[in-house]
Amino acid sequence: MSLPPDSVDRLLRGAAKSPPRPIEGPSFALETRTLQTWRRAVAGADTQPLLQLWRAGLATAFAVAAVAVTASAYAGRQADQESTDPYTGVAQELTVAINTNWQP
Amino acid sequence: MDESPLDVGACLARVRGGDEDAARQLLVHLHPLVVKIVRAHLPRRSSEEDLVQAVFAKVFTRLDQFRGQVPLEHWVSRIAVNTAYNELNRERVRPELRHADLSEEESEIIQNLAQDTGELPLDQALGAREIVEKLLSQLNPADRLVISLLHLEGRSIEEIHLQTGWSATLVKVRAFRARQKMKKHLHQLLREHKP
Repeated sequence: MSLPPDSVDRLLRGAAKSPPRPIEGPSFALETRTLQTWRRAVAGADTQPLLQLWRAGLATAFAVAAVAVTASAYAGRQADQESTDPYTGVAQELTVAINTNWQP
Repeated sequence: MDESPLDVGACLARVRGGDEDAARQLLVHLHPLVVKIVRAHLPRRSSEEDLVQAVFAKVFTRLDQFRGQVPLEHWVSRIAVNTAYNELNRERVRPELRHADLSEEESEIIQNLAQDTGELPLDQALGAREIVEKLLSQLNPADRLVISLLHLEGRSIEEIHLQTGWSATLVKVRAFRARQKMKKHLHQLLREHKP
């Protein structure tokens, strides 16, 4: 026995005519869990701007600290360079010499 | 009890403002729609309540993403269909359908389909539905979804395109192939019935 070509279509049309099962209202458990999820989402949305502000502040503080450390390191290197400059000491000695030899 | 239709826009605004009563009203309003979709696409091993819960969890956590460009019901339908589809995708094992799995009434309906060319009588609609459910369980999730939406829920190609994101051509091709697969399974059941 073979099936007519439209057998699946007839079956589907027949199935579509079946009365829908009655739908009761949401159960207490479903309502409770859904509202709990929603409350959490709302609380998350409320703290979001504060969290963003805190992150922005943290990023700024980090940037300022980085600039300060870099500037400090640069200044330290400059000082090192000056202290190793051979003419720096000579100039100081000369000043001292002039000052001390100025006595009449 | 107040039976007046819910003003969805106003209710949404209240929900966004943190009104719990409005959230409850919205849940009650959307519940029949979500249950209907979940029942139409429920994977074999999933619980209806769990899947409905999963859909509502997504809806309520993403409410701030709803821009109002489409009716809320369409937006919720899309979430429900996608959630069910993802759940169907997880269901990897599809045990083979045998004639022995059919009830007497279902077996009789298949005989009718083979012998008669007319429409199935109304009193066989439930049995036909059961057979279709069993045949759908043999298909992959995409084929199953397209048949449910197109033939059981009576959605148009355009509606399916909007809900799934598949092109109209893809929907038509999938539906055609899915019907062919169903026919193959149906034929096999009929062959098994013969002594």
